[in-house]
Amino acid sequence: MDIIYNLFFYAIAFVLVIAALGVVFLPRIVYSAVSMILAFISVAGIFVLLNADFVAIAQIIIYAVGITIVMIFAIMLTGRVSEKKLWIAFAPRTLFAFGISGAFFVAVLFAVTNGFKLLLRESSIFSTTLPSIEIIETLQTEGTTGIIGKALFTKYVLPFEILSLLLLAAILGAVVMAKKDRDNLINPTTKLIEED
Amino acid sequence: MSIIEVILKIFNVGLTHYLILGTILFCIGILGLIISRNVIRVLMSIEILLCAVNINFVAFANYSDINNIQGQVFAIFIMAVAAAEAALGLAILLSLYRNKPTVDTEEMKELKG
Amino acid sequence: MDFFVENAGIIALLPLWVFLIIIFGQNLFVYENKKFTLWLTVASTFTGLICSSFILAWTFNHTTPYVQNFNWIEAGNIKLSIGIIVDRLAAMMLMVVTSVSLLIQIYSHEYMNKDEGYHRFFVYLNLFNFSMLGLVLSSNLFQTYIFWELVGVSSYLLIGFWFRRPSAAAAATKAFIMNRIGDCGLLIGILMFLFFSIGWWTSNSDVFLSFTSLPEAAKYVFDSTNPFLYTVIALLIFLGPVAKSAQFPLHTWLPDAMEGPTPISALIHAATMVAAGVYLIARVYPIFELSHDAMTVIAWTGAITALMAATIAITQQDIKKALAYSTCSQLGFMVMAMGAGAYAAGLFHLMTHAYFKAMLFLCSGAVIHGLNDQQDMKYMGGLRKHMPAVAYTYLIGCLAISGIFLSGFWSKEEIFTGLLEHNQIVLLVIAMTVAGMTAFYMFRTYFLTFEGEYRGHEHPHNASKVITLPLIILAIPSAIVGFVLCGKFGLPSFDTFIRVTEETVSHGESLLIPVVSLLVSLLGVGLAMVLYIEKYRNMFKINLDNFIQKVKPVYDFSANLWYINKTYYMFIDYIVLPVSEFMSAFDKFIVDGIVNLAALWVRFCSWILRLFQNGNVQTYATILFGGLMFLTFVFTIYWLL
Repeated sequence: MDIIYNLFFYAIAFVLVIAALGVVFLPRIVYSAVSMILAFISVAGIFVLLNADFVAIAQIIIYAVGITIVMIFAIMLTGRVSEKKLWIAFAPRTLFAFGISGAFFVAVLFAVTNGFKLLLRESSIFSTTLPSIEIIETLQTEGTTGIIGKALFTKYVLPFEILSLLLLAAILGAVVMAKKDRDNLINPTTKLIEED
Repeated sequence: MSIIEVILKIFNVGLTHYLILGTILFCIGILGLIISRNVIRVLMSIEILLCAVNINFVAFANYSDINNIQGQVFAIFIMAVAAAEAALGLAILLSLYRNKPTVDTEEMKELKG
Repeated sequence: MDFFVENAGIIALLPLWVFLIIIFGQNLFVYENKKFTLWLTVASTFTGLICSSFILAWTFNHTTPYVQNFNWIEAGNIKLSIGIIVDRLAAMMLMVVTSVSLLIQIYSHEYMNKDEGYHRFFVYLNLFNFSMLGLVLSSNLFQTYIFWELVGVSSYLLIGFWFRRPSAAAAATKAFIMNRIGDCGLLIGILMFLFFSIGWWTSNSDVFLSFTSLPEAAKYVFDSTNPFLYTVIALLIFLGPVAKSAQFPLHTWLPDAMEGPTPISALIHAATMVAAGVYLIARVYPIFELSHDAMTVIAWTGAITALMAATIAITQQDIKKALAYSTCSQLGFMVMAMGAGAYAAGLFHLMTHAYFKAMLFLCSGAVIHGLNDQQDMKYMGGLRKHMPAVAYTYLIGCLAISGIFLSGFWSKEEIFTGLLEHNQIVLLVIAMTVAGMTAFYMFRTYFLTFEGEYRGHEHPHNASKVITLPLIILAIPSAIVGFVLCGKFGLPSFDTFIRVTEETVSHGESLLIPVVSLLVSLLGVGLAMVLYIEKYRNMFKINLDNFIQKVKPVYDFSANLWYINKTYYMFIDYIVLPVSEFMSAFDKFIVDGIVNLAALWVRFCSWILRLFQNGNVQTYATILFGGLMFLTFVFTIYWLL
């Protein structure tokens, strides 16, 4: 019954949903990008509310900074194209998309609330008890970084290492794909040789 | 139980609320993924989808696994994958843009069978 | 000598080898030389002839057959094998086939020399030789069936050799279809026989359907099934020989088969392949022997065929058609003898008939060749002066087939004696009548062709030596093989030779049968003389046309081939074609309609599905999330309710 906690949740959730809708529906792609930053920061706020300080910081560093920069790079590199007309596709699939997402929402809502009954209870079917105050307090004073680090280097060390390989492969793949074709690279030099 | 009590009870934040928030976000992501005409917006929608999933993971970690918080570890993994995906998405977008100078998904119909 | 017997398969495989050499050599343009083809063919057949003579000599002092088998197919408890059997029957057939086909190959070289399909002809000839010799050497019924079909195929190819002629193509098709009817029955018969005797074969772990164990297996089947079913099996097997040997209901293909080159008519449709039916009857004789009804049916089929074909042959104007019906009639004789129980006599007649009928056909071929493809006897006559060698060999053949002292006399006498011994008096009378008619129509062809005045327009030219040589060589066995093998002049008797079983046949040495048959034949010859030689015709004041007018209904009945062809065509026109048209309409509108409806439905569905395949990735994502939504609904409902 923590009023302030509830107020914070609803405020952040409201901002998050509005920002996410903005990503989809704002007419200019740059506005969408800014809206996306807002959404990512709101998600970080949600993570803070969920006692996940490390994840919240990582969220801001990776999403709100890294991925946003990637997106803005994409916008800049393709910027010549007129943006106004590229808003929403008026195709049959748009109608379907509204239907599908609405129906999906209803279905999941029905599921997570156990047929709308669980909204009346304190918690969902997954956990009937709130986290104990002591643990929350230790988490809030010590942070989750230690626990996550311990987990990453003991239990999840193999996925962690594989993840590093994945990132390496992604970097290489991105370089290979984004680089210009070899012909385009060679042609200037051959031109140079021809000029000589 | 008066009606106000019921409403208060409904609005008292629990795991369910986080899950519903994740679902709303996921639905918005689907919507953006499908209806956008701009390829960059499609990439953004995918990031929003991943964020929705992350919220679910962290919420479950908080409410049912507070001692180990394995959900948060998975959230970290997902973020790493999302970063890789964003980088690759940009690379694909660029090579696509080089072949056909457009970001309009309506014009990318070479897969038509 | 054992070497030849153990490797008897070589006789059959050599023509196959030559067949492959010629077919590949010709189609790949390795050589163009006709001599090469001829020598290869003749060498292979000559080797076969030498081997066959050694094998024949071997069989003189061996009564148990030599059998060699290799496993071929093993499926469940059915074991099929492929192999060779060498016994007296096979040795005799080998001898006949190789010797006749050797001479005919030499003859064909001259006959087909101007033809553009010379090499193709020899390819088919070798294929036929391979299949015929394989048929003779087969050690079991299944293998026999395979070679039976191969023989049918090569016959089809050779009848339709001049396939640009519509009549030849039609005749080939007719022969093939007629033979298919018989083959179908044969196959069903073999399978039924195997079905009922499978227990016997498995328990005895013998080569399945092998001829050596056929008597015991037939006994087993006879004991384990009811007599009616057994008769049905036997008659189904008999249907194969009916078609192949041109017996009564299925005989119409043989006269049409004369569309093929004349050497083919001599080799396949007179001497060897049509005799294969009789050979098969001899091979599966143990099966027929047990069923009295089947034997009766066989005998009567043969008798009807003999009588019918003889009456038709009397009025034929085409020399080859006349000879074809005569072949039909003689085959009827053999089948009748087989059915009446005169097993050895039938085979004896097969052997003598093979030689003299081959020679007669070759003579007719020489005549046709000499008159530039004129086959109608109306435009012949007086040819004895132009081609004496052909005329005299033809005369020998006529004497032989008519049963006047030469080989036909002895084999027919055996048949008559056999019929008498088995108390088939009606059959004997029919056979006597047919013998008289045979003499009549054969001498009719002889007189029309070689005596009197020449009535044609082309200048007849004499046959070359390559053509006359085989005729003269064939004339020797045609003349003498009868009394050499009749067992009356201190020489080995064919009768005791071919009878492998110990049962001794005692001949009533009465002079009645020979004298009566000789008299009947002479009567036929005399009648032919009176009617077809102008000198005697004037002497008796007979006008041939008036005579024909007097017996017009009978003459028409005969000239129209007993209306059998017309009946078949009417049957096809009024029953088979409407039924098949109905079937076709049913297939087209109902079966196809259902299929098309299904296809239309699929098309409709695919039209809907194709809308989704529009190349836009987001549409695919829509479908993907639609599926996700659906699954979410399903699991939510399943889980919560």
